[in-house]
Amino acid sequence: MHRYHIPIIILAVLAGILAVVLIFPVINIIITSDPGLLLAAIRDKEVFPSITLTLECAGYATLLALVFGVPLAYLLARFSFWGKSFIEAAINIPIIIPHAAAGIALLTVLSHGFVVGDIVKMTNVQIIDTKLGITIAMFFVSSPFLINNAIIAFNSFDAKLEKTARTLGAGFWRTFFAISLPLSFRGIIKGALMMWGRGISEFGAVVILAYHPMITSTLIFERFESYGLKHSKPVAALLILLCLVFFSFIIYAGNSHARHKEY
Amino acid sequence: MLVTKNINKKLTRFQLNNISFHVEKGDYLVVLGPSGAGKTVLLEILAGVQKQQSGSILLNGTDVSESAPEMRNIGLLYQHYMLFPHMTVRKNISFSLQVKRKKKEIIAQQVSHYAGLLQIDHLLDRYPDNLSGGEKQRVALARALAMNPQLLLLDEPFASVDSNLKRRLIEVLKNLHKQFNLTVIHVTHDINEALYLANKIAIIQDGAIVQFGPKDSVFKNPANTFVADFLGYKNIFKGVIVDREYFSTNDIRIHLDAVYEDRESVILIPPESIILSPRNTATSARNSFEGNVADIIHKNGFYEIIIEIGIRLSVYITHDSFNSLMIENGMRIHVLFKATAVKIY
Repeated sequence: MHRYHIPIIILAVLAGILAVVLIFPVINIIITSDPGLLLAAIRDKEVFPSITLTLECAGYATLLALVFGVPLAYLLARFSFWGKSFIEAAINIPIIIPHAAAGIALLTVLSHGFVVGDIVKMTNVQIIDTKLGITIAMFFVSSPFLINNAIIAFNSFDAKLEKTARTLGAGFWRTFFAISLPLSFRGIIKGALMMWGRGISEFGAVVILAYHPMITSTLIFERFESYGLKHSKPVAALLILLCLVFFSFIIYAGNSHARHKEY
Repeated sequence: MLVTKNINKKLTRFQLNNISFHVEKGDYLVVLGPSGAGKTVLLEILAGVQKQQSGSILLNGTDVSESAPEMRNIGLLYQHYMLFPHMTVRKNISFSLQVKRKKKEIIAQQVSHYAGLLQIDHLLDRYPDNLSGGEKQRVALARALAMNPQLLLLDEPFASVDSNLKRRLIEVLKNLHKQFNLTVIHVTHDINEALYLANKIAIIQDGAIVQFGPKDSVFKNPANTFVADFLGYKNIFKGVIVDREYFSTNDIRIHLDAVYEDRESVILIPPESIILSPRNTATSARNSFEGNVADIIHKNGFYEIIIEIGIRLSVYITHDSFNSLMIENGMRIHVLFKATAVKIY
């Protein structure tokens, strides 16, 4: 063994410890789950609807963020304006505050006496304990993932490409759809998938706005509170399995993109 | 054709000050200036992808100062070409035609015309990322020409290709300019590109145009020492005018052609106006010095001899003179030049 191997060994040991800490509980919950209980969980008439509900609401939240977040990301990536750094900081607030607190904050503005709340009341739209409530909570806490990735995507190519398209006769929108969007597409999709995944795993904010109908996280919490570890574990294992499959897909997509870039 | 009046733009690191110049149809204007002098910003302002803070741009008599870039029909070629990486070469070239909703047959015909002209037919179905620097530039040129621009802007077009390729591409550009009677504004820091391509020259210093005019007049009469230095002039010396008709620096007194006020000054002695002589001969030249040959530089077609006379004087002589004078490093030699040859700034 040469002296120059020593730093690499130190790094490998540290990385190995972290990898075990991260991976072990996840693998453990899946392999130690009683297959019978896992099967029962899949057949459980509460579990499956809660999973589809979770996927659905996280999907709506992501679509919402695509509609509003991509334009915001583009503005932040291309223009400098008064208050820009404030907005950039504000986007990340949902990530740094406790999600239950975020839920409380949302509930407050949506309740009677606030402009938003009063408008909601007037339109007679139900938010509390509805799919809409779940979607709003997921949107609020997860959209930074999409927005940040979209900003990175728009910054990943030279803005002179857009300027060149303009000189070649393309207007603003034509340039956006023919140049900017295709070149940032993968980054935006990656952000959307990350946001979707983050939405699926959301609990704190959702539970404040909509305990019912139950998303999977809420269901796990409820089973744990009412029946204990044994009954919550299969549902948790199922959700973890789902998330693992999902994120493996994202990582695979990201890597194949990187390989594609090398030619 | 294009007239700019007092264009101003302040950016964090530099500014453009009252940029005014004009080009006629068919002109090839080279804007010379050191890197970071704001040349790219100037081109972007002309193309309309960046906004000037004040000043106006007239294109064929129409004020386009406020027009969107897509309304100006001005082509802009960036240093790194900015080929659209997600489109084939064919799609890149046809982009402007697609935007204008030209008929398919016309697009196909135009693309093959410009691809043939720039000898890139074989690249049409490739993506830009795996093209060489020279190929990329040809594609970018074809794409710009396909839009049939009334004005073509080139931003350091040869900065990222090697010198061999550069020579070939300069030829290409020169021919295209002639063939299409293009009006071109080309920014660079390389004086050779100006010598080769320009009929007009503008020189930018600290964000302002310090000299603008036909190439020959700029080269003959550099407006100040920055310009002279930039154009590669030799023998520029700082010193003081003393006793009203002498320029003094490093204990050397140089006779001037007229009477001046005593002041700090800069002079320029054109290297081709200096005569070398092995002996101290009597001539009509008022300035005569003796010094050592400090360096001999073989140039294309002539020699540059550096003579140390207290200042390092650059002298151009032909091969014949070099041989007949039997010049070698370290030898003593006399230099002679007329007072009228000395330019005072």
